[in-house]
Amino acid sequence: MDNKQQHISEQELEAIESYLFNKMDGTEKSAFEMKLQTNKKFREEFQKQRALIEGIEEKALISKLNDFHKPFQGKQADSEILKKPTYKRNRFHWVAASVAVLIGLGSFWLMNKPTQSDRLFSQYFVPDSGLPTTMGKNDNYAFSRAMVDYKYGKYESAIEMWEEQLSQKPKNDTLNYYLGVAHLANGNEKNAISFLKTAVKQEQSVFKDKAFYYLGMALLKQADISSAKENLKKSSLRKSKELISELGE
Amino acid sequence: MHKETIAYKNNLTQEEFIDGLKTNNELVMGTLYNGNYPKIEAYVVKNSGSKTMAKDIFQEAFIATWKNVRNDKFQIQHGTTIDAYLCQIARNKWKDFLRSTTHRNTINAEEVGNLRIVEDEIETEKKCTQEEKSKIAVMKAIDLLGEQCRSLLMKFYFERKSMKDIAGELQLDAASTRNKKYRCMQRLREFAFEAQIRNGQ
Repeated sequence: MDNKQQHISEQELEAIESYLFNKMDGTEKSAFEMKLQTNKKFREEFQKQRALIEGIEEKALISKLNDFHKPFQGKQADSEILKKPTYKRNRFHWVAASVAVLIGLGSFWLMNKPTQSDRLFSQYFVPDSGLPTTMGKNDNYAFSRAMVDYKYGKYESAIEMWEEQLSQKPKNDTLNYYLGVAHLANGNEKNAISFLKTAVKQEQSVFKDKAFYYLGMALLKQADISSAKENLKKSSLRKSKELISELGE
Repeated sequence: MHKETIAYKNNLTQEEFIDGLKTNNELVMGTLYNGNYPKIEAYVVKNSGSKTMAKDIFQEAFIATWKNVRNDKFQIQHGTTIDAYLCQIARNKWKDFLRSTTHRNTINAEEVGNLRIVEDEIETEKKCTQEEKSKIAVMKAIDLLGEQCRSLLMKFYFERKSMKDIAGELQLDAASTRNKKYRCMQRLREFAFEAQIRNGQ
């Protein structure tokens, strides 16, 4: 990297900082503004550096706002858990039961092929790139808000929001699909399997092929090769077919 | 129970609020947050929203206020306060959201959900301006930085700590810290803008 062309010198960067932080005196400020007006290349570089600095500040602010929110968080969690007790409890029983079965099956396979499944999983697993979002303009604000976090890799936060939305429409294919992929990306294949199994049940869903693929991936991660293959076969994606042939017919 | 950890200050003047938002003063921002969030939470919950939604709407409004103050779009005029301004933005955002979901429910969103998303996708691509694309690229690039770079840049640009203080925290001398900050910015620039060029955007 050090060998690359430098777009801006250290001194120029520091001048931009002084200008943005309003630390220049009158003379310096006019000279700086004159340079901005007359030097196109410097002006373009200034805009880029300003975008970077503003981005850093906004990112830091977002995390600071979550700190500010902590005093309100406790109260929030309690009341929201009370609102949807049956849904959560049922789901966890279901997850617990499937986990027990999978552990049983998984442990058998773990003895035989742990390295192959791990290798293939890491070779093939790329989280779904998500749906485009326009904050404030999109109809489904709450869904998009979680999608933004998902795209930034903040899976836990996205999961929390989507699970809340799922309680309103438990069979929604989009929510079940993305919750499954988010759990898988977050290293929790047990929960991923539970959501993806609901997602694949929606016959008309546009996510069906992808849902079968990720369900296969989640099972592969659990080293349950036969179930993984079974689900991959139901997906028409090219990578599903590739993966099946890697696993051996 | 967390209240002890965050400091608040009563009786800040409007000028102190403006100055505090421009310099990312934690005390001022915490006071603004703490003083107004409960009102918005009550408003959103009363108007068919959840507390999580209230938090999101309020934080978006907070960021919008912070930006507008810095760009001098919010000016102190007779009778206006920063609290009222922030709450107004939050309420408007919530009203916009309600209007859009109401619209959605009338055409039975459940059944046509996927179809609509595909339509949104095309429309969104058109709507996304160059500025928004560059913003997204910068935000993603920050995530790609190593923890040390990110923390150094945030301490300097957001917390506005001096190079000397940051050097002390990192147990480096001031000159190396200054150089490290420069190199981190170069790297961030590369992640944000060069990658865009490579992707042909």
